[in-house]
Amino acid sequence: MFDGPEPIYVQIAQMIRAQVLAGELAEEEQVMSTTQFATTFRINPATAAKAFAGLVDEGVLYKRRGLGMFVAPGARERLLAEHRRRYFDEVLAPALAQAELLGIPADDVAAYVRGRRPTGTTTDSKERP
Amino acid sequence: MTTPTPFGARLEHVVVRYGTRREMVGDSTLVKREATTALDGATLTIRPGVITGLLGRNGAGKSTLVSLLAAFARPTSGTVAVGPEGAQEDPWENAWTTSNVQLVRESGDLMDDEKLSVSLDYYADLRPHWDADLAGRLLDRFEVSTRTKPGALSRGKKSAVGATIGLASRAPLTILDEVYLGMDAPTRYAFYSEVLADYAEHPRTIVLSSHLVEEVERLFEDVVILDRGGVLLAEPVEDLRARGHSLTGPAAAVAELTDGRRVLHEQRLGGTVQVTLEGALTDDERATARAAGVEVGSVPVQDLFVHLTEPRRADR
Amino acid sequence: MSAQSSVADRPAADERAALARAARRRAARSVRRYVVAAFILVGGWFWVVYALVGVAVPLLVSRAGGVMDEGISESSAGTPRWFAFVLGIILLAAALTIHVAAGGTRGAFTAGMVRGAARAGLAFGALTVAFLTGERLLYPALGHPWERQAGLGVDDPALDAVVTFAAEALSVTTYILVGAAIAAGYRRFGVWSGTVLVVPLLVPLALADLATRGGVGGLVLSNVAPLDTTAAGRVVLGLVGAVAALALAAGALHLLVRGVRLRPST
Repeated sequence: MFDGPEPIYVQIAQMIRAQVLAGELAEEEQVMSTTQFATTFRINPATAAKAFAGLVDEGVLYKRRGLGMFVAPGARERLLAEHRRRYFDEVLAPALAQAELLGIPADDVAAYVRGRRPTGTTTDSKERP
Repeated sequence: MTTPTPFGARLEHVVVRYGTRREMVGDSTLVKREATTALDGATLTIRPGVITGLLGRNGAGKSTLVSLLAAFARPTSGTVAVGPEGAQEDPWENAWTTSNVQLVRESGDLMDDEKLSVSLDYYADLRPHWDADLAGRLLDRFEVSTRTKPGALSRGKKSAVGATIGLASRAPLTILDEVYLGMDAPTRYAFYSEVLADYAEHPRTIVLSSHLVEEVERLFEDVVILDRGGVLLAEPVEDLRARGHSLTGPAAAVAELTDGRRVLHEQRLGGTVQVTLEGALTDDERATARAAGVEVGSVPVQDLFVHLTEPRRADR
Repeated sequence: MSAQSSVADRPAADERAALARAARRRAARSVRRYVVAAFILVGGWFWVVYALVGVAVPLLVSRAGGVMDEGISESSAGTPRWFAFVLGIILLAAALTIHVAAGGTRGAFTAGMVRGAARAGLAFGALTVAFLTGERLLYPALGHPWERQAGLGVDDPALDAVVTFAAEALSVTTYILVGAAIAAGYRRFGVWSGTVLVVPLLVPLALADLATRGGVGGLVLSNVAPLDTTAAGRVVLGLVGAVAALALAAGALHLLVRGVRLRPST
């Protein structure tokens, strides 16, 4: 857990964002306290607190005094919008750059995208029972 | 009982030498020489309320440094100050600081020939913030009976007793010097969890020295690395992580990016090279690396520690 | 944000001083209790055995038809003092490290040691008087002669009991503290210098023995130089000498303990 190249608090925030996106953490659901988080994953409570503070600033979590941290209403929608916006910059753009580098014409890429769109099952493995 | 204000500590130009030895010189006269220099001009600050990791190779001066904070020993020269921010005092023979600083050493500092309960009662009597319930709960968890004599305990159980004393004392400055020795992995993990849980509930300053860097690095907020009696670095552990990065990719591309930087470590596998570099990359450099098919990664604290304290690095 | 240091009220300087005083008091009390407990347990056994020997030997000798030359108190002169001395060594060796590790100061250790040793000394003084009284009553009943050579030579039995109690209490306290000081000397200076220090540290013991005409030194002196001053003069000189010996022992312990370092364990 948390073995990536980024600082640990960044990885913690990513994990919680991913859980909200996937619906594992519902809106208005309480998240683990800093202490629980720290002892469960054996990390410094300050590190966990830094991650949570960042998520509060982003509007993913909010704090209820004396109760703890909860997933903010609309957090999933905001994260989805954010990720959709970043999808083109961070996922598609490098893929297209790579295609250009390899000399794959844009039309081929477009044909590939359109070709798989109707069913999403045109490529092999998923058709097998 | 309220949680006391955490203690910090400050060392300035601290030198510790142990003993003298007599040496014969040319014209057969005896000359006194200092036998060992354990600390040689160490200067550092330990922030209050923070868990600090104290790392260093064997003989780097870790145990000597912490023994000064707890007034187990006194520096040959230099100053040591311990206490809450703004009210730090010399700990030597200072009942106010010593009663608030708990150093747990690997040896345990117990009465080996009396039942363990006698030693625990001694700590309970002297420690102003002692939590007897916590001590009982931890000993249950570590499966240590207070009726045993410490001399008969295994190394791991003795370490568990040390961990118990360190936590139950609730001292505003708690120093755990290699107390995990002999503990098996599940017990060590239980110990780390207990440290974090109690620290979160009763904030205080904790200094943890350990050789098992990869196991404990995430417990730290700050880290101090000692090397041959000096302070190599003392900084937040995030800063230490930023002190190095690794590049993995085609040899030529890596060589270009590496140019002019200190290489801590290099590993070659066919045409692929992985180098560990000192310092951080700028965003531009990251982009260049990505474009050249070179992967930028982080370096585990353990590896940084090993590289930074390499014996051949004589340039600290 | 539990990891952040709370900006609680920092104790003001006089509040810190009060806490320091309380810490020193607690620490000294723990050492005192430890010393007293050890003397009750181990010292208790010593006196049980010593009393059994003191009664059994004259009984057996008279059963065999013999006559005792002198009381056990005379022939085993100084045994309680040396027992206390050894216990002094053991107690410092066992307790100083845990005391410092538990946050006690060296000064508090010495204070607690002196107080505990004084209580043990008082108990030994009372037990010595009881032992002598027992012999004084037992020996004539068994047909043995009984005469006290050692001691300050006070004729009145009640007054002798008081003087013996005071002399023995002061001397035993001195023996305990010298034992502890020798152990502290080894702790502080290591084997060689620690051994060299034993010689000057025996001075308070010799002074206590000679002044009170008790223990081994007192026995030697009473054979070499018979008592010649007046009883009052002997008592005054003896008790003043014993107090001086005790002061020397306590001073030596203080000087040696206050510089002890706990070396990093290997």
